[in-house]
Amino acid sequence: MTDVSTHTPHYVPRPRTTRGLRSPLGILALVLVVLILGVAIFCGLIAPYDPNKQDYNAFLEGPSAAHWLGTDHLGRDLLSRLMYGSRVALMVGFGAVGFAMFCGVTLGLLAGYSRGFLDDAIMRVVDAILAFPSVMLALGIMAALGPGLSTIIIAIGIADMPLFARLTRSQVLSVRERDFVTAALAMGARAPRIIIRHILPHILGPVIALATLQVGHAILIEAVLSFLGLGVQPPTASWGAILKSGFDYLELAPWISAFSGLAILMTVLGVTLLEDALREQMDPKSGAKT
Amino acid sequence: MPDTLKVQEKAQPLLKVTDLAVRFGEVRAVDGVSFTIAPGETLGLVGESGSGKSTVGRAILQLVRSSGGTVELDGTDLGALNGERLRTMRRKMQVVFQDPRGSLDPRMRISAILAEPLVIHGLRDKTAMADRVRDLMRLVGLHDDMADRFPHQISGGQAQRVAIGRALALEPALIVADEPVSSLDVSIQAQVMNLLADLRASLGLSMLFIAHDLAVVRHISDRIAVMYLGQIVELAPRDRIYAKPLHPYTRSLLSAVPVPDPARERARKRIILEGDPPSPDNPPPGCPLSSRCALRRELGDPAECEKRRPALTETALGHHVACHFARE
Repeated sequence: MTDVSTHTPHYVPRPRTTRGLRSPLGILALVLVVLILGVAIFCGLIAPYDPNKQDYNAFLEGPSAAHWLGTDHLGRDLLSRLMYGSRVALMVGFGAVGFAMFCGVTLGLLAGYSRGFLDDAIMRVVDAILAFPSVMLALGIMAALGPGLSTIIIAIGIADMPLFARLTRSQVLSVRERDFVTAALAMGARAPRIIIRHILPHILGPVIALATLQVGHAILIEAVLSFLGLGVQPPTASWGAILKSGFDYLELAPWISAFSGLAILMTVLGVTLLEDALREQMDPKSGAKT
Repeated sequence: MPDTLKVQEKAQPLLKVTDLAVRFGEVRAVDGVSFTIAPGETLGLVGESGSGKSTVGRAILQLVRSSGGTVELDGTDLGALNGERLRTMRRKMQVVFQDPRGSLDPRMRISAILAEPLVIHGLRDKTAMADRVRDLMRLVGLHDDMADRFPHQISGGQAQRVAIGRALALEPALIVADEPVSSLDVSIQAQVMNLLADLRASLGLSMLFIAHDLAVVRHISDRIAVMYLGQIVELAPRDRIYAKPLHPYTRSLLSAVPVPDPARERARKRIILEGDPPSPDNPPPGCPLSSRCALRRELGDPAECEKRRPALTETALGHHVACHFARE
């Protein structure tokens, strides 16, 4: 063995910039998401009222000491309903997007890596699904499977899957041409290793960015489905259904729609900022500590 | 030198490329290339951009599909192997790319990059692996404390050392070095070239060294092949090709190399090729150089050049040239 002495300059660590989860926006995102997650998990303990219990002396009441965010047209405490509604929103948002991401990324990886016949077959099916407007498709699937939380998740997941498949495939097509993938092939790596170790990590950034957008989208589709009576069935609290029920009393009790809309906004904002911060955190070049 | 050459040519070659052709659609990137590399020998493959030299390297490594000809490594026809047998044969031939950073996965630490070929080929023992990674790092002149860094945290020269170390991890018999120093600073180029030369000598490696100019390959190559438009136009022992280039294309390439002697540099006559190389999807009939050849102009444009493609023929011991009119 030869020993080749060389000049190796000492590595100077770059200054730690406040990026990723340590940045102000990252901290805000963490606070929001932890808050909403906490509410979703512990709403049984912290909600001031039973979300379905009616107070016959307080219909459409404004915010007060007894009911912080007021009551709805059936005299139910809005704060408690929004707290319980976070469960539905998060389950649908993350569940549907998780389902869509898993299926879409898997299909996109297979299509982009194999090319040829399998690629054509997968992408035809994906394009066919994409041809339907997502709300229409989700509606159709809901109509076929019947209402319920798991059906919503599957319906929205299927409707969203093509976006992930297409994005993943296009990313794979560019990453697979990079030298380190060729190098892995030259080393004798099998396809699963190349796909999982060398391609997947490099396409996750854009996929996570898309997922961020889709979490908010999924929460909104759930609201639409609830609005049409195909979503989570009453009396279970869902932000979409609460928002919709507030429409009828917008002049009498604007807080119903306002606070449920605010809940949706805070969740979408928190998740978006968090994903953004996480993406920065995961990028080894950002200088953030992994 | 001629004696050792005879021995090398008689010995069973490690790599035997016969009539290799690669097409991308209508483009004939590689068009009937044949050569051998003996055990321990380094062949320099030189040509300008688009001459097909990198494609030859990739076709040998079975990274692009060839459309004709055979590649034999140690007597095994690589094109005929199925997936799993090809995978095991890949241990014997490894590659070093031009862009060292691009060839290292940016999300893996140096130690993981060096360990990967071992993992792929079934080494499971953690201690043995760590030992081997440390040996490899020393072998290519990297400090132990680099093991935990990411590729973007080391210099280009260091990254190329990592790539070389990774290529050596499986103890291959053949290294395809595809312009391994072209993207490095000139000061680093010499270090990496010396490293490759040292490793080749100490490990008995065969090497296909691809480069786009004759100056780089001079010191490391035993023989040199010059490519133009997908074909080898001249193939000769290193000293011969620099002393007595026969093909007009090789002559013009050599005339472009500056000489570090002011008197001789002033006397240096440059042979300038006219125009751009023809497009490989529509090569000229006959000799690929016929449209730009200085020798042909001197001879008064003989029709032969446009009619018949000159075959690569041996004019002197080990000196092959593809030209109808090339004479010493």
